[in-house]
Amino acid sequence: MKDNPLRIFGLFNRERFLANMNQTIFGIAAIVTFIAAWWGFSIYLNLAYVPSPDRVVWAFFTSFEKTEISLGTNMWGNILASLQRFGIGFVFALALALPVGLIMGFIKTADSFFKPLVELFRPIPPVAWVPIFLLIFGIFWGPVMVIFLGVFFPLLSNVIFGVKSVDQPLIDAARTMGANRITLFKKVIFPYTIPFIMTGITIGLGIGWMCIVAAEMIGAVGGGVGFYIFYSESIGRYEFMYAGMAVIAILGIGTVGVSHYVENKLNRRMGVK
Amino acid sequence: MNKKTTIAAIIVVAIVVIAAVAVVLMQPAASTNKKIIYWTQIAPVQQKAALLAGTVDGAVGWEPYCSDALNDGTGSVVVWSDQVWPEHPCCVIAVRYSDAFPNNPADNQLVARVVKANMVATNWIVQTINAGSGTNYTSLIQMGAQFSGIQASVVQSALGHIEYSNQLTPAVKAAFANFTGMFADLGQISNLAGYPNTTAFANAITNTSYLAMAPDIQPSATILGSVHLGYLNGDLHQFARVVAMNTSLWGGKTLFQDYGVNVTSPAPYANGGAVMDGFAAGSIDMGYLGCPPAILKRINANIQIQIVSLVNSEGSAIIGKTPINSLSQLEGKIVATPGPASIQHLLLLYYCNLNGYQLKLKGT
Repeated sequence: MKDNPLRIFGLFNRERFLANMNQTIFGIAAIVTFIAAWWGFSIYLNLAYVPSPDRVVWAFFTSFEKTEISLGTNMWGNILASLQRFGIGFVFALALALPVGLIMGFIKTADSFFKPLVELFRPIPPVAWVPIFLLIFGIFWGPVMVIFLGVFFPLLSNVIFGVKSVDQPLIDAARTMGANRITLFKKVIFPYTIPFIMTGITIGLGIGWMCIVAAEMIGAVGGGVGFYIFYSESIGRYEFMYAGMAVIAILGIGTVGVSHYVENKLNRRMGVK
Repeated sequence: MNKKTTIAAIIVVAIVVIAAVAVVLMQPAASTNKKIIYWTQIAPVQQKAALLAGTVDGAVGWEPYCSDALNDGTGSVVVWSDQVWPEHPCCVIAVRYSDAFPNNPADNQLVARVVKANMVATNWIVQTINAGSGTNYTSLIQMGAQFSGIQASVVQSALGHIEYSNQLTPAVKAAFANFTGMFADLGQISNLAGYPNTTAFANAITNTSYLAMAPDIQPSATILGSVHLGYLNGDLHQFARVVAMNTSLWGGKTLFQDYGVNVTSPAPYANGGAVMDGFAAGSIDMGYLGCPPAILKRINANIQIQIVSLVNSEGSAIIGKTPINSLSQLEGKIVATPGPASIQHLLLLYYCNLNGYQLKLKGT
């Protein structure tokens, strides 16, 4: 078979193009089918809480333009508030889960000590902590701590798993070449764990966005997208509620997408893919 | 890190920074010509704990949670709702109109009988509170404590701040119109469900025909039908329902059964908005709820309800964390409210405006 000239330079891959085209066509078809079904249901049901897609699109753009008098801000302000507490919660989780996970995975005594605590608290859904965190940490740090928990445990589990997954021949080889414990950790264990850390971050980000809505519904400073959803529902403006949900979806897709991108880059760079 | 990755990272960071700056710049400039009081949303049942924890400096809620915070000194009264709006309506009974209910004279009889039972229970409560002692009074306090999960002494205090009455008087309708106007001013409603003004809307949302039928209704020896009735969790404003459901007071059956209606209820609702959602979902035929969520969701969600009886008036308060006992002491501080759709939030907003304060969501 004669190669396409563009393929020689790595610019065109017919198989990949066709595969992607199929995927794109199916993706578009799924979205169109969903919107058509939604539109049909909204007309058939004729209920305020099942607004048509065009009403939600209108509410989506209106929410960015119009300042909600009761809340004193528009959707931009709510996004900023959510991103702020999400960012802080995420950084805290990363800062704690990373060292604890590496230590638990690397040192058996630490694993034995921390494991019962981790297993005790991990099954508790982060949202179950919302009311008590609100009282203990207040209306700013309470939701932040819920996000922290949502990100912390998946990240921790992945880091521990990553450390424990290091191939024994690699460790043996490093030791044979005279690596001490610190060098072994720096040169073998930690680099090997990075893809697992990225997987943990991606999972944690997804769970973090789920937590933020629940946390902000109970109480929050400066609004937030979750708060906006709850507020819109409480006054019966359902199209704005769906607009808020769409914003959460976009933010979630965006952050997880960035995380996936970084994860793929790192994996390629480290020879995992 | 190779060159491409570095460029990609710089672009991502730049986009984030630009977006953050844009968001900050797009925020409306803070008003400086008004004194500000901040609000945040916390359910009344959690407000005392929030005051104790220092999460908030004040709260506006309903009974018995106001008295609960006041009795042990956690809070001090800033103002009772009746001092701001004398005899203002609060909770009501609403009926949802659908193809299924009430669409015939028999169903209308059922609604009237529920209204009648509520009226009898209300009269019993008023007489018992006025008596101030005796077996019935002890039973009333115990029922209140059991229903709300609050100490009997707190229930006793709380009952002194709630006016139990049922009539939908012109003053009550005027208050509904006033609340509707306030929601319009806040931008929470953008129309009046097709009515030309708030007075016309308030007249349309109230239906006094069942109250008019009630005096002629007598107890029934047989059960004439069933009604699914919604109510709020632990709200002593809706005490008449609790009393009407008590079997020991009414000869081994509920007061609703005495009037021929078998009342069933789903789990108690958290707030009036949820009761309206119960109407929309077809889970309930009738419900006890605050008038503001009834008004808001009648307009915004087009839930076809009518208010058929008043349940209580007054019974809310703005309180400060002791020693705060005035609005001026709350300047720059945070007050917890049940949320913008509640009458308590409207009370705080109105009282702030009356005294030259701007009410602002904390952090915006």
